[in-house]
Amino acid sequence: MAHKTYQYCVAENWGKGFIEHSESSKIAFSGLPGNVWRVPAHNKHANLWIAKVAGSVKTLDEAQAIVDAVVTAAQAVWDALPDADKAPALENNKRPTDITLEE
Amino acid sequence: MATYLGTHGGKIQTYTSDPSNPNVGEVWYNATANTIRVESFTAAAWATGGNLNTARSLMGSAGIQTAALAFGGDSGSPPPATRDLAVTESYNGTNWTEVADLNASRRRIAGNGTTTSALATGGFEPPSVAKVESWNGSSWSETTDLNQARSSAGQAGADNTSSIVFGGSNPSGTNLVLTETWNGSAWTEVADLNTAGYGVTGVGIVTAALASDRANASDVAQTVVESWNGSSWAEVANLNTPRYYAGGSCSGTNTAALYFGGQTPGGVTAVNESWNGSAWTEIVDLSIARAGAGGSGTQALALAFGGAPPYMNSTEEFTGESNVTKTIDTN
Repeated sequence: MAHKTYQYCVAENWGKGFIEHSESSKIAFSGLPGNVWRVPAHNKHANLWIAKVAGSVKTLDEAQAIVDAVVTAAQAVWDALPDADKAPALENNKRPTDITLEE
Repeated sequence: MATYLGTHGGKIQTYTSDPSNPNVGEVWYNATANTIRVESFTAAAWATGGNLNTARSLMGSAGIQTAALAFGGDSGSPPPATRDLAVTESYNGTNWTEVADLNASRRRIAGNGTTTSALATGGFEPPSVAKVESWNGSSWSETTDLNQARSSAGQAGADNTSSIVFGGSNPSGTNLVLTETWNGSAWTEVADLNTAGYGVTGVGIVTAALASDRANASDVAQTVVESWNGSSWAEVANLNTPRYYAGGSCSGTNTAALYFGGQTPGGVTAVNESWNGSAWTEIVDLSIARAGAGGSGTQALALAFGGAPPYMNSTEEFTGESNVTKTIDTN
């Protein structure tokens, strides 16, 4: 069985206090579309944070499906924009790209 | 029973007050407080701050970490919804509160100042405009236009009477080197940037500013950084990561600044770099990769808010590394 580097959960960022300095100095957070958060696996501090934010732990496949759904919806919104609004670089409005999560 | 003397080979010093400049790891007894204390190291880190009420990218920004302003920007909404925003929000260190709107909605706007005295310049309505609005702490009023209409420019300055605007994109989409300074009543063209670009991020004041990150005419992210000494721009050390539309610690200086996020050739990034006046050092990343974020604060205490993709309302607060005296609980 492959060793897991990351674990995923869904938790809504309520703002101040959601991630404290004391937490991010111990573990690396990565926020993804759909309120999906990637934190280290097999890590006491990550597990404590997930419990604090009442995070719903997801398997890799479940997290990937959530991210895919949000990205697909964002791509549809982008596709609906007038061509003039799609100037990708100057507008910082490139078509959202697919995101592949790592185990 | 093990003693401190036995395990460390030395006794703890007793002081009547904490030493003025202890080394990290130093332990002592504070006889006044009757506590054992240790000097510890706290690493630099990002934490979440209050969320913006309106998700947006490419807004104007001003202020410090605990008193910031976000104005205008791009909602990313398709028609018939309004894409260009006039909404202004003020941050108090915990929450964002909506305050008076800009007179003209626009995105790719630049800004500088504080929550009580700020300047919003240029932007894209479309097209790129020369409009300037001045914030007095409660409302925006239109003031003298820029000489050159532009959007996605860099800007720096202390307040609404002192500002420098540089680079950006003109109404035809051509990248600019033009620089203008504001004295509270008029704009004056001064020495040009050495490298044209849009998506520039400015830090500092009108006599000492930093112009970092930008995209060239082929929309390719650059590493070039220029420093302004009050009369001319000089190239300084390059960023490690090429990018444009980064956030910056707008109240920093041209010798102490922080640049975070942005668009890179590989896509949007969370990378954060710190400038000490001579070199860039990559330090702890944002939790969420973003480009077009607003930025405020200093190199040691910065704020990142909004950005895309997707268009987001999240805020992150940066605290630089520091030494802290802690009390050891012996109970």
